[in-house]
Order: sequence, then structure tokens, then C-alpha cells
Amino acid sequence: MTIEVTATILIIWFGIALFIYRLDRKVKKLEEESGEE
Amino acid sequence: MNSRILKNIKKDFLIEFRNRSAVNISFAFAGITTLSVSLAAGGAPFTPVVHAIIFWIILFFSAMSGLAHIFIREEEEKNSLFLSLYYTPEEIYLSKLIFNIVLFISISVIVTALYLFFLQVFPVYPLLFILTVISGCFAIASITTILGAIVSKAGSGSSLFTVISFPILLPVLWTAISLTSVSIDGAGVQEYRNIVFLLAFSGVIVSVSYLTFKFIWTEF
Amino acid sequence: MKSYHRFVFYFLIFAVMPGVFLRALIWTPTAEFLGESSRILYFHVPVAWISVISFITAGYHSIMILVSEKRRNEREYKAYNAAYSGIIFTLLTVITGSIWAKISWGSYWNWDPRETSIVILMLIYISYFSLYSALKENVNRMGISSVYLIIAMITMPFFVFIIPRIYPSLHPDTLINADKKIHLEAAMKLTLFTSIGVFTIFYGYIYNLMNRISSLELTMQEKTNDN
Repeated sequence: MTIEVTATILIIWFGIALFIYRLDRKVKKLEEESGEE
Repeated sequence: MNSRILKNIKKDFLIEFRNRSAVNISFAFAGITTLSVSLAAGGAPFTPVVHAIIFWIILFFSAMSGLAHIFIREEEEKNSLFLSLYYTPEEIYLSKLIFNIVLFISISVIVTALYLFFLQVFPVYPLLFILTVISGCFAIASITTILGAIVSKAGSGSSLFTVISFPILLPVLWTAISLTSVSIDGAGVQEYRNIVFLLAFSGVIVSVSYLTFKFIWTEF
Repeated sequence: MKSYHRFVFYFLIFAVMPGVFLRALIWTPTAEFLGESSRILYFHVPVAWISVISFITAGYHSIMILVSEKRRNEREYKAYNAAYSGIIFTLLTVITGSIWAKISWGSYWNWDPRETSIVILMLIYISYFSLYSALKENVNRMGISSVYLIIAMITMPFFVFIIPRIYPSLHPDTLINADKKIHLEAAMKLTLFTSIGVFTIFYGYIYNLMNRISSLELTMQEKTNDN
């Protein structure tokens, strides 16, 4: 039972982490673009 | 406004039936799908639910193959600009809607006749069956008209049309399938309320598309 | 954002959120018939809630794009970002929900009304994104995809009427049910609502961040166009 609870939380955590990672990469791209100018 | 809509419908019918390839293809598609189901079944008995599901899947894919064409043709022939010079978006929408309803009801008459004949189905409640087919076709035609306009603007063929129509057509298909299986089977209550549901659904879709059509057809 | 607003945000996210997790995992009693797996509730429900919220947000911005002339550029990326975050949370809801369904109903997928409605939401998002990517060259991209989202939105109430007639439900009552009451113990209720609140604030923070990134991208693009 507890393994499923852990799995659920980890899945949500990984999903949100991936999401924030993508946002971070977007910000990085923006920073690089603004640095070039 | 009425005479202008009639004029536009007349033009659509003239063009579509002068160059009959598109209309012929959609009729032939419907007929061939029905025949291939019958052929593949080979006389094996289906339960009423399976009959209803196959029947509505045939109608769904016939709609997907035929109903977007009326808008895609306008885009291909680069007519849409001239159309919007002469007609208001609402007139264009209503005339295309009426054309699609007429076309799809005639397709469904062919499919129904072939299906009932080749698969040896005799509905226990004929009135419920006929009403279901007509109101279901009405709902499918009203949804596919607005989505066909969207697809024609996107400029990428019929696969996108199927993808974007499916989630919106689902309630229609579910209701129609359950009603059809009741009318073939004879078991269960004849729920005429569900036919009202189908008509109300298409009414809502038509009124919203009437309001929003100008945002699709003209740039703002 | 003002500095103390930011402080409250960070406090809520970095202090209250772990607290809620601890509460949900340790302090709150389990439901009697579900056992330990009832703790999934405090993570599954907020995620489902967020996927509905972002659908409503995307729909609101789509309607406003068509209704008013003001701030159309801003609403464009707001609607898109809401849909984008919505599809991620919908996916998370589907996955965690199917794990829970395996425990309590015995199979990962059995077309329960709740499962059906979340899948329909996912289908709508998927077709929205296919349409959006197909419209890449079109000037009228946002108007057309907004119309599609509005049409998808008005079918949702019909699903609410139609689905329970077709599939019998095993899902426990949703928060808003026929009795207008919440059938949960007080401790569970408290944990659930704080969890939903914290998740919503967290989502608002992420959504705000996405919007700021998009607005920056827009201004950068305008700059390069000017040069």
C-alpha cells in the first residue's frame, strides 16, 4: 500500500520538476539572447 | 438576408454537383464502408449494441471524409476572400450549414438503407430509429460545419479534422449509440428525451458557431 | 511583484507545502476501508483540481480574446500557457488516478465516469495543441484556436449529464455532490483543503512565471523586429 502512495507522490513530483526544468531552460535561452545584444 | 443565403446555397449545390467528384467520393466512401462491414461479418450475428456501434462509426467516418470539403474547396480555389466581400460571415455560415445538413442526411439515408439491407437488421421501434438517425446527423453536421471551417483555415487535411472533431462528437455518438441499440433491440425504455438532448446539443453548437464564425472567417 | 508578496509566496511554497505533505503522510488518519492508500487523496485531488482550473482559465482568456480588443497579445500567451500547464496536470491526474484505481477497484482502467471525463479533457487539450501547431503560419491563429476551445468548453456540461447515464460510477463522490455535503472526517477534510489551497497557490506561482517568460519573449521579439 505504502509503495503506491510513494509512487504517486514521486510521479507528481517528477512531473512538476520536469515542468519547472523546461521553464528554467526557457529562461536560460532568454538570458543568452539578451546577453548577445 | 434569406434570399442571399438561398443564393449562396444554390451556388454551392451548383458547384458541388457540376463537378461531382467530391460528392461522389463521399457517397461512395459511405457505401463501401457499409458493404465492407457486411462482407467482413459474413452473416455472423451481432448483438444490437455492436450493430449500433458499427453503424455510428460508419456515419462518423463518412462525416469525416465528406463534410469538411465545402470549406476546403473555398480555400483551395482562393474564393474565401471574394465570398467575404459579398456575404457577411453569418450568411456564409448558415448557407454552408444547410448544405452540410442536406448532404449528410442524404449520405445517412444511403448508409442506413444499405446497412439495414445487408446486415439484416429490423429495428423494433422504427420511429425511434429514424428520429435518432435524423437528429444524430443534424448534430454531427452542425459540429462538423464549424470545425470544417477551422480545418480549412489550418490548411492541413482530414486527419486534423478527425482529431479535433472526436472529443466534441463524443456525447453525440454515445447518446446515438445507446438510442440506436434500444431501438434495434426493443429492450429498455424508448427515451425520447435523449432525442431532445441531441437536438438541444446541436442547437447550442449552432448558436455558438453563429456567434463565433466571423472570428474564424475574417482576420481581426 | 512587491517584495512582501514574494515573501508570502515563498513562505507558502517552501514552508506550508512540506507541512501539508507531512500532515497528509503522517498525521492524518487513514480512511477505514481504503487503508494507507487513502493518502493518495491529498495529492490526486489537488492535481485534478488544477487541471480543471487551468481549463477554465484557458477558456476565460479565449472568450476575452474574442470579446474585447484590449491586451489581446497578453491574453494570447495566457490562454496558451494555461492550456499547456493544464495538459501536464491532466496527465499527472490520469497516471495517479489509475494507480489508485488499481488499488481500490482492482484494475488500472475501467472507464469509470471520472476516468472518462478526465480522458475527454485530455483529448480536448491534445486536439487543441494539434490545431495550434497546425495553425503556425496563420495570422489568425489565436482567434481560431480560441473558437475551438470555446466550442470544446460548451460541450463539457453535456458530458456531465451524459456520462453517468452510460457508465455506472465507482468513484467516491466528488467534493460537490448531490447532498451538498462533504463525506469526510474533519481531520481529512482539513488536510485535503489545505493541500488543495497550497497546490493552487503553487500552480498560480508557476503560471505567473510562465506568463512573465512569455511576455519577455514577446518584447524580445518586438525588439529584434524593430532592429
